[in-house]
Amino acid sequence: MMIRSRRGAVHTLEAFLAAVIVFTTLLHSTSIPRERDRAEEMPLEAIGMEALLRLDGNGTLGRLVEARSWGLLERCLRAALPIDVSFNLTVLDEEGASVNDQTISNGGLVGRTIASTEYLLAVESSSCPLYRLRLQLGV
Amino acid sequence: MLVLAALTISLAILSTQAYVYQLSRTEASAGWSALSDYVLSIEQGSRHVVVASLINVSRGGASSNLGDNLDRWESFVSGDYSYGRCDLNATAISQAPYSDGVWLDWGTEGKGVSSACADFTLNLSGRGADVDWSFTENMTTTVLISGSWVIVETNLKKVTMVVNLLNEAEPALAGTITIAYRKEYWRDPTQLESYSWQDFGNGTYRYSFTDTLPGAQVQVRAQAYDRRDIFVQAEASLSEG
Repeated sequence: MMIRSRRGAVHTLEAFLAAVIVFTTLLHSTSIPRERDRAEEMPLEAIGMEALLRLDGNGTLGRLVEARSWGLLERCLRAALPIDVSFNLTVLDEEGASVNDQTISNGGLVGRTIASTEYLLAVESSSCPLYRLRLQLGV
Repeated sequence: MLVLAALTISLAILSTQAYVYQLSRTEASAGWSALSDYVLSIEQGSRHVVVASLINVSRGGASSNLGDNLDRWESFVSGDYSYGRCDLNATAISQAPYSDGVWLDWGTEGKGVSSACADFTLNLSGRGADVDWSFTENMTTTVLISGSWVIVETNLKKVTMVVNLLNEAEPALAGTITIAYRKEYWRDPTQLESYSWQDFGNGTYRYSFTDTLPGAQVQVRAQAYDRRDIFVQAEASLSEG
């Protein structure tokens, strides 16, 4: 009778321990992120390149540069880039001369990390103008 | 025994979690992402160059325009060292029906084609990148005309004409379409009181007008600019239907 009772107690303890182990594991596993935040891992250059690539995809970038709509271009970049990233864009023509006569920026380049990326742009218009877009980013 | 099973289950859960996390890290590899975006930007730029050249040639520019623009684009890209040495080689297609990479066929059988095509090879080397990428850019705008006419009174015909616009063989919206019909000379049907038109919103446009037209065939024409500004035109002879 005594032995049975002791065995039962051991089994209960074992079951309790097993439950604790599984429960602790499940609790711990929920704290591990399923995937990393891409924006955190991505360098600024890649963020800038992706934003310009998206804007160029439907021809918006070329149209805005060709129309010299710097204000609209700045607003598009504000929407395309993460909110905590500061930027400054310079548009150069095929010969390397600066085209934008006003600053295309969201308040100056600020941040501990500064990066720069260049984007080669061909515009879908009869004369096929080519531009080099120099995007400086800070975070 | 139970504890051992619990430990095994725990280990399996944790290792699966760690594997999924590691996998997401690999996918988000920053260097790879930036390099592939750079290659995509060159491909996208090449497509824009082909479209820009087709805009020019379809509006009466020289057919050598595509070759000239490709040369400019080649040297422009070669001057960029963001990912090491970058060599872009662009060739305008010369196989029939293309000549200098351009094919303009504005037919009288109800179909008109404006097309430009070029082959590209991109080589990136140095700075840890080694890319060898070949691609073809074929930009084609097609206009199709169909339709028929019915007698309203003697020689008074109600003409119905349907225009379809395609970009790369897919329905596309038009920028502008101008239609005309032939009665001694090309006339503008919008001047007629009976003129009406309908935009189906999917690249299909239907026009209708009534006029005194002799003969068994009514000659019509559609001149269109797509949303990219590429020009294309076609003529068709409509029969009684």
